[in-house]
Amino acid sequence: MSKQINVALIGNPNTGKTSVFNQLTGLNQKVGNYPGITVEKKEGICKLPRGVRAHIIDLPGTYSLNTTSLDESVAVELLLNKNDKDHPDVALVISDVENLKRNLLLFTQIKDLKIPAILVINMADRMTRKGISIDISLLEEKLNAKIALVSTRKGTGIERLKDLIADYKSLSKAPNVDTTVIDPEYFDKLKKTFPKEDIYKLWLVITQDVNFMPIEKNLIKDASSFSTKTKSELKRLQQKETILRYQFINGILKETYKVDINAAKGFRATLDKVLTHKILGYLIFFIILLTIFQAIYGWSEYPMDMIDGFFASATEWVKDTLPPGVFTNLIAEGVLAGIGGIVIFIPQIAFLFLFISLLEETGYMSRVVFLMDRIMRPFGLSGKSVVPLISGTACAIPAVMAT
Amino acid sequence: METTVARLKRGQKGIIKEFTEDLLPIKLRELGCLPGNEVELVQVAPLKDPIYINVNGSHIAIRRVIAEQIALEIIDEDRSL
Repeated sequence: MSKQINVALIGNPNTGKTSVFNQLTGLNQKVGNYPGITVEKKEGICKLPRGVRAHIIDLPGTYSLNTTSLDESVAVELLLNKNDKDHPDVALVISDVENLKRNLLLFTQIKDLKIPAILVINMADRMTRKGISIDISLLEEKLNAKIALVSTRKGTGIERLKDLIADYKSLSKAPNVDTTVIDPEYFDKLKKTFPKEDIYKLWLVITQDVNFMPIEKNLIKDASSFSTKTKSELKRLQQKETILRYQFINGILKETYKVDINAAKGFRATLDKVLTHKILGYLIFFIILLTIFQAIYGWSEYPMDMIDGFFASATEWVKDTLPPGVFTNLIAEGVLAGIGGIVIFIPQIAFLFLFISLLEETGYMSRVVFLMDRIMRPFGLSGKSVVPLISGTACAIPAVMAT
Repeated sequence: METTVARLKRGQKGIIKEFTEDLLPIKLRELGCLPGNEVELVQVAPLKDPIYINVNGSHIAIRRVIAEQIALEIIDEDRSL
């Protein structure tokens, strides 16, 4: 019998976790490019070398183990709860080439939980274009971990990654950063009260408001009655922890990560300048909105007329062919008219969704949010409310629900 | 010269010194908004709020209220050149 191991995919939003998941499992999950797409965890099976089977879990994107939203706590819960049947034997921390520094914050936290971790650096194909060079072997040595450089778009590096996962027993479990130095006295007391528990895990349980299985809940209760720190003291300690981690990361990256700045800048900066410009920005937004309205009310008229015509002639045909009576009326005036009344809106909805997802995926929506934030504030809304405001012009119900 | 992120001019850079309040969202710190890191003001929205900054390679937009809580030291471009 082949044995099965649990593998968790975790990483910042937008690093291509779901693409890595698809490459490993062969499933074709839909990949989205806006934050929060993976709200529930997705699972799949991957066959590895040497007869190992891996149960792969794709977790929602998170910047760190300090949770601020529901999707993030899904990830943290799984990592902390050893009794969960899905508790990972290996964690793959997915990072993209450009934001390695930010992703390493999460990586060091997972390492400190003593979960064997592999760092997967995705989007390797962008390295030359962005002028980035990474000294992988030195980085592996400094982090005391294995690194897989992959490109899900080109499909490179996946075999090495599978090899690394199959070899998970040889991965180091040594932590990267010693968190206890931020307040030695406090952590000493913690260690004495819960000698059996892992110290970093305890720290996370105390600082996070996440739901755990019953055993962990008792732990929290004990911990919080023990904890003499106020909320703001804890927050200050968390801040110290983050600084400590970034010091560690900056030290490593200075030696291993080089960016040629000239290659990296340019297009994005120019585009941003135009899209968020005082006058041009609003003008472009206005033109885009007009195009969307034109599409929804103007262009969709043609397919709508066709659908309308089709159902009208279908009703006519039914009335002509079937003998007159209650049943014919039911088909013609009830079923056909009813379905027709719904189907006729498909072109409008399709156009609306096409445009909204296009705006989201290109990142244009964030620029609009930036432009609109100050204007929306007097109404008690934030710039983000622009999205429901736009969809509200089509139908008010989802817009009201979104506020 | 000492100031806050809110008082930067467009294109000006500074090094973060400290946060004047503890209420700064944790997410900002995780994105690299930490003492010692460099901040550049990329763009200011119409009506002067919010502001668009590049910190630690992350492009983020924050409101002025929050920007005022981030104290920093301005890098004098003229002198360093």
